[in-house]
Amino acid sequence: MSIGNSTPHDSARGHVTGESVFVDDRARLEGELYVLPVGVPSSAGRLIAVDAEPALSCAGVLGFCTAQDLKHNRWGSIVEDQPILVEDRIGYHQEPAVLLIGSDPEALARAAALVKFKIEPGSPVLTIAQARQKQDFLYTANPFICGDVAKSLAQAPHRLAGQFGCGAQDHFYLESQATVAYPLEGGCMEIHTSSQHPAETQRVVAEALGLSHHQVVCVVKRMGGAFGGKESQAAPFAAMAAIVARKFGRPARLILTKDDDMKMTGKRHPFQNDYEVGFDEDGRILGLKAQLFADGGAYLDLSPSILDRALFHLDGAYFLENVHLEGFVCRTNNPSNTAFRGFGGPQGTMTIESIIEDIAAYLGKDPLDVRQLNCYGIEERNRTHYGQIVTNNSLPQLFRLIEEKAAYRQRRKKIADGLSESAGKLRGLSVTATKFGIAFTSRFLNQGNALVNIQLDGTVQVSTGATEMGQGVNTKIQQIVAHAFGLSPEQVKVMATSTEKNANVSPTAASSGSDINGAAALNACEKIRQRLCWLYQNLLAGVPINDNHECPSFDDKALRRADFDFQGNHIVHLPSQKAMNWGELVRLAYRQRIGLSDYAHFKTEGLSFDKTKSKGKAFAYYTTGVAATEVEVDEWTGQVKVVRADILMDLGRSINPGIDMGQVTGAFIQGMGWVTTEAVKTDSQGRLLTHSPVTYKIPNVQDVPREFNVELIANDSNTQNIARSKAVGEPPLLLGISVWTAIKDALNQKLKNGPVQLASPATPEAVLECLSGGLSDRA
Amino acid sequence: MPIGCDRNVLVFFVNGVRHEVGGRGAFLSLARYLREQASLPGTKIVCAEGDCGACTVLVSRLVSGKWTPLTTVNSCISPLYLFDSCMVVTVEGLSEQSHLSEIQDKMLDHHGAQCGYCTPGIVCSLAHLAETSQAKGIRIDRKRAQNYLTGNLCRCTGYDPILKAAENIDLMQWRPLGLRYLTDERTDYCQYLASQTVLVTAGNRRAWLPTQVGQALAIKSASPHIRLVAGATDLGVLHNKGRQYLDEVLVLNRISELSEVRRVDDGVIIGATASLSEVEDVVESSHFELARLLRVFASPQIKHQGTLVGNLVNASPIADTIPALLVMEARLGIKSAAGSRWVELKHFYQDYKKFDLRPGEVVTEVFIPNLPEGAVARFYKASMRKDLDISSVTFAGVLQVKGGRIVSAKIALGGVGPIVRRLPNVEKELTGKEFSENSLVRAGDLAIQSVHPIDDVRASANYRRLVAKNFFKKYFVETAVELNQ
Repeated sequence: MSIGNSTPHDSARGHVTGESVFVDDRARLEGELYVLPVGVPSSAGRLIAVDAEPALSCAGVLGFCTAQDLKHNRWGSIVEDQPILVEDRIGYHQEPAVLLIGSDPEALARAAALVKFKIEPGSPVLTIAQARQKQDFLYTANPFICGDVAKSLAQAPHRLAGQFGCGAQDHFYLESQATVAYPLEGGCMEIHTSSQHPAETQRVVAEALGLSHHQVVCVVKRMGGAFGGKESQAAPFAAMAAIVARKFGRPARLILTKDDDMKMTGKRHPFQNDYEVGFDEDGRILGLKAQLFADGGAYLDLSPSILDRALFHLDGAYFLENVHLEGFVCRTNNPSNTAFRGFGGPQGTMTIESIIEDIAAYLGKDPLDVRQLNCYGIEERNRTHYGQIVTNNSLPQLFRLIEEKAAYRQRRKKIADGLSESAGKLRGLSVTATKFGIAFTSRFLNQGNALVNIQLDGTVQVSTGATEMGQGVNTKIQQIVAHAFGLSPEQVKVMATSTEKNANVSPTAASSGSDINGAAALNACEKIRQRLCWLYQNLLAGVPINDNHECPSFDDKALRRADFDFQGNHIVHLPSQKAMNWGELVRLAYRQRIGLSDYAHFKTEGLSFDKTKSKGKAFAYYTTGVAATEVEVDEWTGQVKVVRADILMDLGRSINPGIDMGQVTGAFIQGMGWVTTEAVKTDSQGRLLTHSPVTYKIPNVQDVPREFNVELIANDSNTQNIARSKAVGEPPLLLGISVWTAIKDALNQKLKNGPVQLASPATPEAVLECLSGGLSDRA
Repeated sequence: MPIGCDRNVLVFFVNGVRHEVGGRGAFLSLARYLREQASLPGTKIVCAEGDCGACTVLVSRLVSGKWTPLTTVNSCISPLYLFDSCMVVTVEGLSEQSHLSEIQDKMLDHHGAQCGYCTPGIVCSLAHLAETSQAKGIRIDRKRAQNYLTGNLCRCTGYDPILKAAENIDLMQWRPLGLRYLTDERTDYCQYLASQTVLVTAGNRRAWLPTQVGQALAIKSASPHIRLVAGATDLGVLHNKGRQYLDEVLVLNRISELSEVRRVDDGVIIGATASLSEVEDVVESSHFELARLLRVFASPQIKHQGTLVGNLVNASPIADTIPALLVMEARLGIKSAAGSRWVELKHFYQDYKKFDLRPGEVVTEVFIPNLPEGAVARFYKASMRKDLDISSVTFAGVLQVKGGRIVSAKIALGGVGPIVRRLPNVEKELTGKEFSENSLVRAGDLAIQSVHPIDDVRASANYRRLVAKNFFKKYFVETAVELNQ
């Protein structure tokens, strides 16, 4: 039994010994070149000319490339609107325009200062507010309408209107964008890159070089973190390396420095959302009208899907009967914002969690009561604002359990009585929930694929469309395949993802990697198992197999699936209780000319969302969870400490609880960073000021909640997914929001002046601003 | 080779193997050398500024003929010439053949690695934790593990699985790295290496590694513009980020008399190359508040290599130690080929990065007097993140109270102007006043009228003013009991 075990990550051994090979760890070949992209020193306007000649005077600099070297200089996941290298219009500050090429990265860095740009300046649009004023939108979502909002608001006993804003977030994957491109014979190109989407990288590289797709192979062994930042935005950097490899006929290595990575790539979309909510005396939400504005940056990238997901997740865990939601992606002169774990979901859900916090403060109620009152029901009040029924709904149970396990009421009372506070410190407590829809909302992406090869010693190699970025997808697939053949996980190896072996490849995103590629792997195993069962059945019956003898399918009466089991390195014929060793079976199959390899495809069934109406079944199922978080706020500095966090997740029947727990703790802390210390700041010219960990503060080991309890609840009901598991990558990130609502709770209790206006991230400065009623007045 | 120079290549050990590097290679960072020239790419480079810890390796050096315990350093900001005659242990040196060490085993068991990019650095910090805990016989609990991992960022795990791995380390199973690497034979050889003066050159680059103060002063006086390097925790960053290249350097860390830390009757004297962690240990009993400040000051890696004198002469307006040393009335010992002198720290700073220091002079030590009887010190910092973050505002206060009245007051603020400075007008205002919240609040009001903070990436001027003011109140609340005794 391999599924359900906490098998260690398949690369863990290599990770702890330093043996794991990442892109930049690949041995440097003779003559290999380094590539340094140099960005434009302006965030708007037009690039008139570039003079890179002076850089050539530096020792170690061998040449440069510009837009003219590209056969095709446009890319984009949805619409091809983005140049690989700037040729005219400037989208954002530090947008790559020139590639310096040389034998030593330090020489390139020194030479970069010598590149001269002639620019016709333009006036940049840097905020959502500015873009809204200009009505400059890259995308307008189809509205989500449900019930009668006007009427429900008009009749509601109470109404609140306001604006909720949340900031950007840098992915801060430790491994920056990285590619090594190797020129091959016949003009072909082999790309080793850190990408969540090898297929798109292959396409962008091929087009940039004017090659056919079959001339480019893109290989992804592993990524040193990605979090969405390498879904679309890995591709242009791979193309830059490839263009140099092609021009010079030598391997070319492009590894962004952390500073350049932060300056040149997009982030989580900041949102500014206007809303009006109507509710009754108890806090039950009667109607919600909202307009969402996302900062898309300079180009479209994945923004439409991200905005859509924010609209899908504006309900959070709560039933909204009357809704009118609109959404807009603003065009600004920031790097094109992109996928980031949660993909709009956090920005949508945080809006409703903030609204609920405000309703409770307004009514003087405990926010947990208001949440439980509005929580999706089991039999009724269970239809989302887009018409999908929330089935197998564990949310009410999760709220009840967390209330108990976290001793919420007792702690609430202790805080209210002032028993938890020490001099200069305030306490706040909050429970929030995640209900994350699992499926790409772009229907065509819901497909996976896998190639399973059994070797003659009985070990197995598996290649799927999934890419490993630390999340453990390879380990889960290893377990699924080992389970299918009754092997131990060590007998199965998940190979590097390569466009040479896999077709119909979707990005590893939307938390779906294990779901769709694990299911495809199981399909491939099933095809092989069928042939092996047939072989064994014939062997037991003493029937020799000949070339005219077709293998029947499993549902056929001639071959019954239920007659066989694979376990403990054996195939077992259950009716006779006879068994044969796996290795023997494999060698026999080879001698009998029975295929020991198969490829399978998988597509998610039952999705029926109609984009034109914003109605239908958008998701295969939901992953749900809750968190109860207590914070301590320093009244003198505004600094926040998370005293305790309790998390409960419903991950169905986990394939690997150890890996899933790591996803939950990691996502929570990442979400916490987004809403507290991770402030992305630019100056008035659009220059990024927070471009390294010195100024951009992701959570540190000391920021882990002093008490941190994480549990998975038992749930066997999710028949919608492989092995009744649930996707885990993104959903728990939304629980980090509870840190922010807890801060808001602390401030609400201290100020007792109705709902406080707190933006996210709640930096020490933002917190102190709330506490002092505006810094400028008091200081 | 010039006269007085014994060697023109660097010699050191990595995982027990001897390495010899001359020319351009000697000017690479240790991390780049390991990755690009020594085929040891396990050590990662991420931020290239000593803030993320992915490049963490362990280093031991000889001091008075004995190996120091293996401690962690950030190899990405450390030029190779800092490691002559040292023993370096990288992630590749922790396991023995295919046998994982105890910490690596526990990382596997507890799912401490996800993407794996921070993992080599984490594992090295855990090795340091295991090594020290075993040597000192201290059990590893969560808090202790956190303190050793402060300098390692992880973006995947949320740290909890790593902490679980650390808490479960069985020290009985830990085989000390020293037994494997710091062997007698290497001790004698490295002792010999450490006694040699080294000069490495490559094109216009030059690194002097003297062993005597006299040599250093002679070199400095002959080339006044040469950069002095002790731990390079700041200069290494400037170099990596292209703000100031380290092309000509005078490396001080092999001069044993500069590394001394000693207690004297009226205070402590700290040599120019004594690391911040050594300072932290020594002042624990004499200057408890300073030790407490150093605990949140920086990561273990930085503290193992960075120096107190370096922090003082780098003279950042937000340097964490400067306000504390100002109110403790520290003095700097300065030497040149011509002689030596002492200067009060408060007179040393003249303007932004302008000092009372002449060309050819070298700051060789700092003297920190004991606090006067009955004085109570508090040092505060505000920053975005509590640990390992550069301050937006710093505060240092030392008050003496007799019979409910303030008899002496020393106050310094940082982050509110181009240099950290004492506030004589505030000190005067406080002296003789009743020790009360009201007095401190009024002092705070006066203080923020006399400073001129700016808006920058870390905080707005208004935030800085407000926090500076709040710190006066905080000082009262925290010390009221102690000072009213």
